[in-house]
Amino acid sequence: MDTIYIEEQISEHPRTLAILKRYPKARLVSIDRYNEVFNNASQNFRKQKQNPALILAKKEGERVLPTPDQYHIGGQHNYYFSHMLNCIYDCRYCFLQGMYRSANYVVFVNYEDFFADIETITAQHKKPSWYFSGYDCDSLALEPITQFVEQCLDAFSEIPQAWLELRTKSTQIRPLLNREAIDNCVVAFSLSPEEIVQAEEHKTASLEKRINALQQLQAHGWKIGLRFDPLIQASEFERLYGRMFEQVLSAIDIEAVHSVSLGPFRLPRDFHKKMIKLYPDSKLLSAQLEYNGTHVSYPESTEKAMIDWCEATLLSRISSEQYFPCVSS
Amino acid sequence: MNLPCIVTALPAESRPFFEHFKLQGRELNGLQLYSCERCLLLQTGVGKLAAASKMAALLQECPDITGVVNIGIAGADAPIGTQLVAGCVEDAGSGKRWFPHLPPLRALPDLKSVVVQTHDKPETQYKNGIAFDMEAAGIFSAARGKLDSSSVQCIKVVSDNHSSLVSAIDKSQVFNWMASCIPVVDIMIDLMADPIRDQVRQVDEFTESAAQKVHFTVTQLHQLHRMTTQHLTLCSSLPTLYGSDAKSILQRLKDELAATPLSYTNPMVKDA
Ligand code: SF4
Repeated sequence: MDTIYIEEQISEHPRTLAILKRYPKARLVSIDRYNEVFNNASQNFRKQKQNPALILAKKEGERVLPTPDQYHIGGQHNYYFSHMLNCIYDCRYCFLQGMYRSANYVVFVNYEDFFADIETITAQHKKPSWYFSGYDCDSLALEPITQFVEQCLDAFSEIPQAWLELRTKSTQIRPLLNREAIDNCVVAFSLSPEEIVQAEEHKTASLEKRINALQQLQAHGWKIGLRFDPLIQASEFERLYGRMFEQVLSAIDIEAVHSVSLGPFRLPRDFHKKMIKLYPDSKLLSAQLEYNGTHVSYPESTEKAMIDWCEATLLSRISSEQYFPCVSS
Repeated sequence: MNLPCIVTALPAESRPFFEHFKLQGRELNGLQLYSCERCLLLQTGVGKLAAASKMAALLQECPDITGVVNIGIAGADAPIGTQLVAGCVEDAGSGKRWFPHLPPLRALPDLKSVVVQTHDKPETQYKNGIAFDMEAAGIFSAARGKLDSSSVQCIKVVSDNHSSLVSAIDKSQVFNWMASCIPVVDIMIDLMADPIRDQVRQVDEFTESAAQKVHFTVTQLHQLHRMTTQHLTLCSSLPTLYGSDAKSILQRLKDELAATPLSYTNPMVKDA
């Protein structure tokens, strides 16, 4: 990190000090509230993405929010939370590029407040509730710096009625391998054919490395999830996705997989407008997409054909109980 | 004028750049402006108001300016001649603050970041982490409305501190301090190059020329612009327009794009 903005109110927080210790050369800038930098109107996401700064802040207000209706993996009560905003990776389809003005990373250091909120919400429901991390970031990618997941798992191990989904494209799995697996956590990997990883998921771990991480986690007793999301249209779609399904499913214990989901490529209309301005040279964003109410997606027939084909291919290998068709980001 | 602009207050601060960039002076609606193939230089005169009004006037005349580097002298609690980069620019009068998105540390490893605080009069209550100047907030107030946080930067060289007073500053020192900043300014100017500028310009020119031949409504022109961008990206070439009216031209272009395959085949990835 070249530049670190620090909210004054958490400048002496032990996590702030621990993170700063890792970057002795970083330029430090004191701020009142993170939004004065992060939400400022005149910023260019693409330029900032070349050297994002880190913003250390305290998350006030609502920290744990209900997910959109279709976002679940079988649970009845579903929530998401973000201890971090933005991501060290640079997937060209990522909705964060359209949602945020800034590519800087925000890390909220008051983790205990998130855990307390989760405990309170869980106690309000008779049935188990699900908490999705990795909605506005990658759950594990910045773990060496934040050590959030490590502490999050400690917290969840005390709340068995609360289920955690970690969602990642990273191979930073050491904190998971260094401890015993807990029952109420699913480590879900977003997976794409290697050609798409290389072309569109910049800076992420290769498909092979993700599969390797899945194998290690499974061997260690962690529940794993497979997220084929978003499905990217390509002229050789069936060849690429067919080969990837085979690579993944032949490498792991399929029966032990907690959940498999597919997600179509969809973006809110406003996000798409912003993204094509930022990346007019992106092939993925230049492909034929259609406005569909408030969203942009592949033409309906294309999307349906992609989902139907993937569904049929997957359901020939996995059980329907494991399958959740539409966990869309 | 798709160029970045160096902004100084005083002639003594500008002089080393005239030589280095081989700048040619010219008059632009009352603004004394200097230019070369790589950049412009604007001299604003002393004070926040002069800086704000000259900066605003330049951006009005040349809305295509791609970035602004304010460079000048400042008082600070640091050794004379130290180069500083503004992590924050603050208007001491109003309290308004701007946070430039700083270039990578590897590009400017030796520059300490500070708050550059702009005062109406020279300020001598030197404090750690703060540099006092008289123009930066004026430049930022005018430029940040038009340019993003990565494209407006501020570099200061310490000219006065606890042991060397403002009154002791002389012109030849200023020349040397500014000359020592040339490598930093060079880097900043290069970093301000817009990666998509050429593509955008190509598409702008193409749609403008199409609009001279066929009548397009504003909405149709936007569609043509977008589809031309898509064509350039997907096919690596500008489209050929078929048809005699806007509607048929757009429909044929739409059909062509829909039929363009998006292939991800990569010879480096082996089939398993
Ligand atoms: S890994 Fe996820 S959060 Fe990160 S850039 Fe890619 S899509 Fe966005």
